[in-house]
Amino acid sequence: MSLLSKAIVQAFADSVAVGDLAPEAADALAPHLEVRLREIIQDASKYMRHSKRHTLSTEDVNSALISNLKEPVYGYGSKVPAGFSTAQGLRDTFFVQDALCDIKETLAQPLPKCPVEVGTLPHWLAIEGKQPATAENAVIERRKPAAKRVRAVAGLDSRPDAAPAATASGRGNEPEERAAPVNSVVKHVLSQELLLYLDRVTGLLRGDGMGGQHLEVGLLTSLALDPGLMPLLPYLAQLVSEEVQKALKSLRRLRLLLKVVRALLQNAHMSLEGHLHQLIPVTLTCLVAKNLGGSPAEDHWSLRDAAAAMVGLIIARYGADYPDVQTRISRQLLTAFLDPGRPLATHYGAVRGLAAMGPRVVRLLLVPYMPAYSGLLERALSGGRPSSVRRMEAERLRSALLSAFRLAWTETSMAQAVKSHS
Amino acid sequence: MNADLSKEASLEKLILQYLEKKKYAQASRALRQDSRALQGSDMTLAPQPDPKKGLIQDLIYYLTAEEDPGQYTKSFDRLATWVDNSLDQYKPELRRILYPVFIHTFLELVDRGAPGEAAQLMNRYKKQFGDSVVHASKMRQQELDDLQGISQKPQIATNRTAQAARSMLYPVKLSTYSYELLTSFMQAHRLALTLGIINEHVNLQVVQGKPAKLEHEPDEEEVSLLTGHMQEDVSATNQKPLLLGLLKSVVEEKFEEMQAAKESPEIPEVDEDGKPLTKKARTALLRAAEKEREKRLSAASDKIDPEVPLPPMPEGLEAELLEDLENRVSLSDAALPSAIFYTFVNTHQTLNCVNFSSNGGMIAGGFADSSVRVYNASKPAADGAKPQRDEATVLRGHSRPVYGLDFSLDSRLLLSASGDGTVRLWSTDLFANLVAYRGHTFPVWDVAMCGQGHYFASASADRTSRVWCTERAQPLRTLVGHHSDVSVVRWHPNCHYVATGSHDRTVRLWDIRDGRSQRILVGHRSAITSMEFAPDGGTLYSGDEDGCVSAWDLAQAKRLHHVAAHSGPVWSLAASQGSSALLASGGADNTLKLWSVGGSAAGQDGQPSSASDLKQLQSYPTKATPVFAVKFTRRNLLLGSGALTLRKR
Repeated sequence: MSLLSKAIVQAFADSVAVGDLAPEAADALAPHLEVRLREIIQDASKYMRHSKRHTLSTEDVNSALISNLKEPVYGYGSKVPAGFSTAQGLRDTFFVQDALCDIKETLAQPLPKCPVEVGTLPHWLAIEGKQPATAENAVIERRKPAAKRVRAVAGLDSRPDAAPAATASGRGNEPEERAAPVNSVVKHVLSQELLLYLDRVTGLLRGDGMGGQHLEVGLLTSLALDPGLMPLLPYLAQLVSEEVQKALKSLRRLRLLLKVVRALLQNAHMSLEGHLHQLIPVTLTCLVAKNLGGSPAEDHWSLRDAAAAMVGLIIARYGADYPDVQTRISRQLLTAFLDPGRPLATHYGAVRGLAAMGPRVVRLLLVPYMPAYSGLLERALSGGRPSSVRRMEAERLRSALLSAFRLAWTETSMAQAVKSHS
Repeated sequence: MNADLSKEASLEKLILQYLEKKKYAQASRALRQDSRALQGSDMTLAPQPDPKKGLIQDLIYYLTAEEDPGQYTKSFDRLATWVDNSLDQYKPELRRILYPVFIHTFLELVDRGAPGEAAQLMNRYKKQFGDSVVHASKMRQQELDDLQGISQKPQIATNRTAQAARSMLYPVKLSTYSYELLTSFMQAHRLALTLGIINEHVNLQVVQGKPAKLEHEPDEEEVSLLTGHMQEDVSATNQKPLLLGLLKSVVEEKFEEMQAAKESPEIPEVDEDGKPLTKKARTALLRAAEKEREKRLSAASDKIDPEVPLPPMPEGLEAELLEDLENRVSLSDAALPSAIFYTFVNTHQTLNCVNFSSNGGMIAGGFADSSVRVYNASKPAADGAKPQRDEATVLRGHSRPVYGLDFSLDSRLLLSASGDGTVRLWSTDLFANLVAYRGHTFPVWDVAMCGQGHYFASASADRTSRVWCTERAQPLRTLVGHHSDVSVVRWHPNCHYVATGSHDRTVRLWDIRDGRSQRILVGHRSAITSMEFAPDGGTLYSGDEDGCVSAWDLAQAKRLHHVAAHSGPVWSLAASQGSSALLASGGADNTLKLWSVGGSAAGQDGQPSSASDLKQLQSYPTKATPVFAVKFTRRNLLLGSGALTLRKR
């Protein structure tokens, strides 16, 4: 008949001590009760709407009861939702579980903190129609061109090998890419704040040791988190790639530059797609450069390790959208590794970089050359005095190779691979 | 015509039943013969009796129905199954007939004392009809919710929706072929009961041409039981003449004079290159200047003298208004406004409403704890360091949540509407309560101050809106007519009219001189949540709970545009000052949007502005703040506000 069953009415009659309710009476009451309930719910939802909320609260129901000249239901004002549970043996009867409180304990507790006073925070939502990219404003998605680019990349990727073959699709895409900067000859205008910001960053990256630790930390957090820095990206990328060439002698500055690149990578509001060609070389320089720092005795190894981790980061973030990023980097690293004229430190960096790309890369690229390379390594390990720089480098290289392989294989599969290649 | 026929048909049915009961075979046969001639006309769907045995069969149906209400359910089931199994080409059209038949089958069942069957029927079909994916609006859902509560005969008489359904003919359009299909099905299966319902309650319109592809065509108005109920009322009301001109304004005249004084003297002797002007060029310039002046004059002559007594302008306000007029930024599609957004923090969902003073200097918020907080927005950051939170002035006086706020033109008075049924007037100089206006017996949802001061209007859950003047404790007018809560109220710029938006999905325009309804604007598919007049007074914008915004031409009482603007209720609308170029809307979907109205350019040429569209220019998302209020200041700075609402998981 109605949504409410006889049992509910009877249970309710019991609860308000109206003795035995005849089933017929309960039957007759149920539809009336339903109508009243619907009325209350309808009114309560009006109160909810005028409070501009989307969830009905007990307060709304009470307001509806009051406006219908009924006694409101007390005791449900808490914002914590009440947990209803079923009464044992009665499937249609629910009650709210109230935990017992010891009044002494409650009194002994320190007073809860005063709620924070309501306040208003003003900010510019738009300035002459444009939404400024400040921390208060929501970030607008700017990944729209991605679909187009992915298609272009997919077109490139469909070629059988990585060598640039002038297929129809390739030719079709190139003029499009070349045309892009022509379209955007609009002068790039930076706001006063951003110019100031750029000045400070430039000073910090150029000046050797100026500014101190806390400024660097502040800069890096700002670069990693601030949403409005997108317009600075071209300048920052340019700056970093220039600075890296000048800073080759200073490990400290190189580390800072690498951290800047990492911060840019971490910033969720940046899209680095257009500037990867500037940032990847910076990373690779830190990874495989011939000489890093003043003397070979300095700890350039940790810098190379950090750069290797960054390679992994770049590929993790952009590898899916641009499949050729990985192939390009790995090709560069492999040529560096296979050139016997390069120093062992470079080889070390290349190995670390390749290892960061994952076990598959190690298996496909590194392992096939191991038989040939092992001779060179053996010679380096055995030649010269045990304390010579070259011997130490060789030791490092060997441990890097071993850790790469350890990552890549369980022992059995390693054995198989060695067998199949030798 | 159609209605007459169907009424006659049902009358005949009754007579036939009676004759058959009393065994007057001959008479009944004669009547049958007669009625067949009558039913030959193509609009009725009464069964074509087979002269030999059909008669008896038909009558059996009518009689059994009287004894067994279950027959209604059965025949509706058969109809529904048949429609479901019909060819795809005709299915959408045939489905149209199901909804009205369903409603009346349901009511018929309740009426005949079979609420159990009725509830079963409702449970089985409610989901199908109320599916919001198909209908895009919750209208049917609400109607069905309303009806579902009915389980006894007397409730039919008190239920609004049921009454509306019974009193109207539900219009259904069918193509010729679908109509024939339906007719032949009815006859073949002898669904006399369903047929009876269709004849009695449905207005079948047969349309030439191909069958429609959709059950609800997008350009077609969805039929609402409630608004359909008022249809005749609407068309009669909407023909009344309106006085929509703007008031003559001292300030604007002065401003025009100042502008004119600046412009007029220079009819230059030389042109830009320094060559002396020819006589011809000079006369052309003179003529252009003349025309300009004429145009201005004619614009001024369109303006009207007030027909309601209005107060003198407060001292000092004139200078302020003049200054604002001078500094007003003119906005257009190309010149968009700057916007400041005030985010209320730490409200814990207790903020109900926000409003700004018209110079943007003060923000007032109405809270669920019955308080009103006023913030001073124009106060310069004292130490220049942190323009952080302002101290609020808390106004206490109401005993239930505050739902509406409005400032007077000079920002010295503030009105608040509350759930306790009162409207209170506060002074923002003293920050004290001046008057409590008691009159409404139910919560007051909204309050609006007249543009010239002195008068204000309130909208209440008691289905009335009242017009007051600040000096009297009793209302001047009570505007009665809405079928449900009045949620929003706004003043027409010339102070002669008040617009109200209601939960019954209609907007009404009232003349405050006689307190009568002058326009009933029907077309929204859910409750009205916000309204705004264009500054020229000819157009009204209204937003509803589904996120749609409509623009209405008031003189012709027709809808100009209808756009789905937000994906939640539209909490607020604001039109830019001066020539109405832009409309701003704030929604529950955390965005503030700007719309191009484009009416001004077309209006100048004297063409109807209906050609221009309501098109979106910009959308400004906030992080997690539904936009409760938007407003253009007199200098056309856009203000927005809302309470930060973090969703709990």
